[in-house]
Amino acid sequence: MDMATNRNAAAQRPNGAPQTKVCQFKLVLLGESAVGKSSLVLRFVKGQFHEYQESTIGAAFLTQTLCLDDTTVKFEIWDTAGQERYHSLAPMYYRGAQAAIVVYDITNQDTFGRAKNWVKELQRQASPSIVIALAGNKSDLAAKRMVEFEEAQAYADENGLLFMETSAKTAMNVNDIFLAIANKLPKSESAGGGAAGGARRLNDADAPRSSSCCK
Amino acid sequence: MQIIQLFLEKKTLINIFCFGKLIILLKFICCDAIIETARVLEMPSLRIDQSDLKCKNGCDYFGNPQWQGYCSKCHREQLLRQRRAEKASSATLPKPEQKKPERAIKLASQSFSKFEEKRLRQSETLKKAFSVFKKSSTDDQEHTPERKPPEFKIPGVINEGMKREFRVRFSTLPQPVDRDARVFVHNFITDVIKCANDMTVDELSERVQRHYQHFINYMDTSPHLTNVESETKELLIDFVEKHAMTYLHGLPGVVFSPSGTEDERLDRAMSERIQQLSWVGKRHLECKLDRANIASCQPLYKAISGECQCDMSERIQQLSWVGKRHLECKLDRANIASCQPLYKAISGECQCDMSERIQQLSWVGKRHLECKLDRANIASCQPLYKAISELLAMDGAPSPGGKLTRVRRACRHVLALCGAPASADDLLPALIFTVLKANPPRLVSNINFVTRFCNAQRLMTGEGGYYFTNLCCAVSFIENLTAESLNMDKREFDCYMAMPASIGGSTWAAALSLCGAVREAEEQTQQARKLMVEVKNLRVKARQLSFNAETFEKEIAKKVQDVLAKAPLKVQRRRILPSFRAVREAGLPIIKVEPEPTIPNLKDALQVNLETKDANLVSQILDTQTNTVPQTQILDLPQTEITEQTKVPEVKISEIDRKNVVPPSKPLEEPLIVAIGLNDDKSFHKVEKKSPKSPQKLPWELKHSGSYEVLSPLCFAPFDTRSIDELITPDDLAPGLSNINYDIDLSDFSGDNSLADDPPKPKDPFSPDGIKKDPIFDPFSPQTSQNLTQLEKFDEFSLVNTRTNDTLEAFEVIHRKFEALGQSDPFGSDQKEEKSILDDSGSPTSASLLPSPLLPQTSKQ
Repeated sequence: MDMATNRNAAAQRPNGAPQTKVCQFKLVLLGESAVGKSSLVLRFVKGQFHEYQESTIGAAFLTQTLCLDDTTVKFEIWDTAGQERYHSLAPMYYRGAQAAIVVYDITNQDTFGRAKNWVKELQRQASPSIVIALAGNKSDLAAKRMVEFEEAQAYADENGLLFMETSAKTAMNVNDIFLAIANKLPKSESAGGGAAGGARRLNDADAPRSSSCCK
Repeated sequence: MQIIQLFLEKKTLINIFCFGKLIILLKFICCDAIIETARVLEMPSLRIDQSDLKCKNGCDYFGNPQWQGYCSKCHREQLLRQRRAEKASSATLPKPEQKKPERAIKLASQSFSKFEEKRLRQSETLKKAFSVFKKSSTDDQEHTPERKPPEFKIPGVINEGMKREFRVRFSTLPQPVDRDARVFVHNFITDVIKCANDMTVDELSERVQRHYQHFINYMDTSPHLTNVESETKELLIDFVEKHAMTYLHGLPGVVFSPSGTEDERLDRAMSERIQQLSWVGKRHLECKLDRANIASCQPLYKAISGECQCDMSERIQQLSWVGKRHLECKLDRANIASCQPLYKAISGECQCDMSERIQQLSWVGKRHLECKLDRANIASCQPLYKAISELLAMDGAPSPGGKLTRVRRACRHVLALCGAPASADDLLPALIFTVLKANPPRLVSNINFVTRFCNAQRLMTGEGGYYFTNLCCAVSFIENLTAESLNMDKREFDCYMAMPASIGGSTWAAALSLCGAVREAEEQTQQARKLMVEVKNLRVKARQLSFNAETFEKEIAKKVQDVLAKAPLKVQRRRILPSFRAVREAGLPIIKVEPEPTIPNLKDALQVNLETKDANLVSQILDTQTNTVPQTQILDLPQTEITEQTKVPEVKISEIDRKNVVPPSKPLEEPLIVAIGLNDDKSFHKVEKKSPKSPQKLPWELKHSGSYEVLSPLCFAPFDTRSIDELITPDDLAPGLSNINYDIDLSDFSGDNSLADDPPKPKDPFSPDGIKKDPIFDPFSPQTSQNLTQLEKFDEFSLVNTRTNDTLEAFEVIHRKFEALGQSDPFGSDQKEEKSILDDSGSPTSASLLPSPLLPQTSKQ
């Protein structure tokens, strides 16, 4: 089942108008706190980086549009709380997400371990077609590197993940990783109703979880 | 179910033009689909059947939608039945909710919880009533399938509201879309209501989602919407959802905290739990929960400082300074020891007895410092309250979309609270904190309502969906909060949980209420200031006003005194009457002596007049009749008076005469008329007394008088009318009693004129007497008092007269003197001049005053 919300594309088909489909994707950012999730997003969306985080923009929810060859991809980026104690809440965030970026800090081995956990959980609990990318952030601090590139690359290959080392500070690979995700995302023409129905079904599947939360 | 679905689709297609019927049909979808199809095939007509208007009970009366479609009588019966059933059910059914012991300690100080409880209770009763209602209605349906259960009555308001809003929001969309949307909403509502009875909430939710899906499909396939942008479509689905769910939300127990679920109990449990966890606020902060929460810490400080009655803004400034310190501390990896003194310093500055509390919290302070303080922007306590108020307002929004927007706004405020680029790392803790502090009413119900009945895609995507997810996370975190999730010692945690909520909550409750109160107080002080300014202005104005009033009073008093000094005449007049009569008796023979040609009628009138007239008039008349020079008479009056008192006035009078001299030849020629002229003069004087007439008018009046003199007696009638008019005008000016009298005089006189032919009228002795006296006597005093200096001498006369002549006798004496003098008047030329003067000065008004008595005479003559 294709989870992409192709509602817009479907809507424009009868119109016969633009060749460029508009696909909207929900992308979840996962990762230990302070690995630079929001910096990454801010760099991607606003092209900004603030070392001391002086900016006043809320980075929790952002959207960015990418133009591929024949499609326009609109990312809805959902940031999540990285603290360990909120870990159990993550499913509510990545429910219905078509893509996820798991971020770790190359200067911190623990974050990489957490990232692995995230990936495992995503693979187990998220929608099966979810596109997962692994991002080793703070590559500008290579001098303090604790996580070797090869190690991460190997892990990514093993699990079928996209992998890049990024730097929100230098903007290295930031756009690239999002582009890669956009390319990998299925932009197939699943019926509009089907997409929504799928989302709905997913919602139902998660319903017991949420209700259990509330009880 | 699928069959039903099919039917629904069919209906949406078919019944675009007749959804009124459709609604009726929809009720039977589930019961017996066959009948329904048959009907669908039969009916489609726009006409409303008469039976639809009749009472649902089948009696011949017409029903009323206000009475659920019954006639008044049947409705009452129905109500009674309901109430009875309700009583029975409430008596028999034990209520598990009420039985359930309330474990949590209630917070007297937390108004929110109270409020929530009230709402819960309300909704409970509502729901009870409604469920009973539902039962009875379904029973009815079973018995008489044609009866429409009341749930299906959808108020036309929705229709109208949708129409209106559609026109405003989707003015570009074609008309059919509007209609389709409304049809959809109607189907939707009726279907949901119908299904609500025999479906679980999840099934219902499923169904609702399918409805949304249908609408989306419709939008994708509708020929009217092919060119419409997707954003508009989203707006449209939101629009539909809003209207449908707003109505359904209003129905108790259908979609919002449905009767079959435990939402309500969960609500209560949640709010209790939040109350219990209210202590977490502090601990929470203090431990690592969030960097962001320094800002939320502020109210705490404020609460503390506020209890010390410190000014809020001062506090904030103080705390902002503290914040920097905190920052430094954090950079240093904070030694608690250094920070505690800070707190104590603050508290010491506040001189508050809360220092104890601060000491209590000091251990918290350590943890507090361990987390990142730097994020805190201290001025941001406002967003917290905004966020809280938004969260509280969420319960009030009827539609899922509305609730979502509330959540979104609340979360934006929370983001602002977090300061710097708030990532989810900051947002979630802050949101949890906010929820803990806000303890929104019916939180679980609201969340469930939105998750179940909001358009699923809206929830899965978009900013609203994101923030709502955050809220759900916060709620579930609170629910599952354990010692571990707070990084706390288990025993400590239990200890806190066992602690009565009031201890933990009081500070925060105090802080909240305090901040609210302070804000209110600020507003009120501003208002008070405005009011003070206004009051000051008012005072100034009042002072001015009172000053004006005083001066005015003084002036008035002065004037009144003046007037009083000049016009104490009234009493005298009546006393004079008898004497006049005596005089008249004396005068009668003289009148008989009249040599002039007079008509008998006139003579009679004259006699009557004489009876009533003053001695002056009599004397004048006598003079005229005797052909003695009339001026002399007038002269005689002053002269005699003058002789009596002082001679100074005489000179002045002569002066006046000289000034006012007008060719007196005419009056001289015709003595009768001259006499009239004399009268005119006198009346003129009166007029002048009454009203300060400008001297400009005099010449005009003089002319008139002159003309009158020339005119034949017949012309007096018009003259009178004029005089009346003019008399009225002067009356306005003078407030004295004399004026009134004059008026009366005139009218009477006019009456005399008109009635001159009729002898009976003159019989009224009283009115004419008074009248005649008034004109003659009054004139003197006012004349003097007012503008003309020349006349003032007259006034003196009059005053003297009045004062001296308190008794009538004096007046009489004067008259006698008149008579005596009149015969023996030595001043020929002077008298003439005077006459002329008087004539000149005589205004039409004055003429009118006097002439009226005289007119009959003239006419007679």
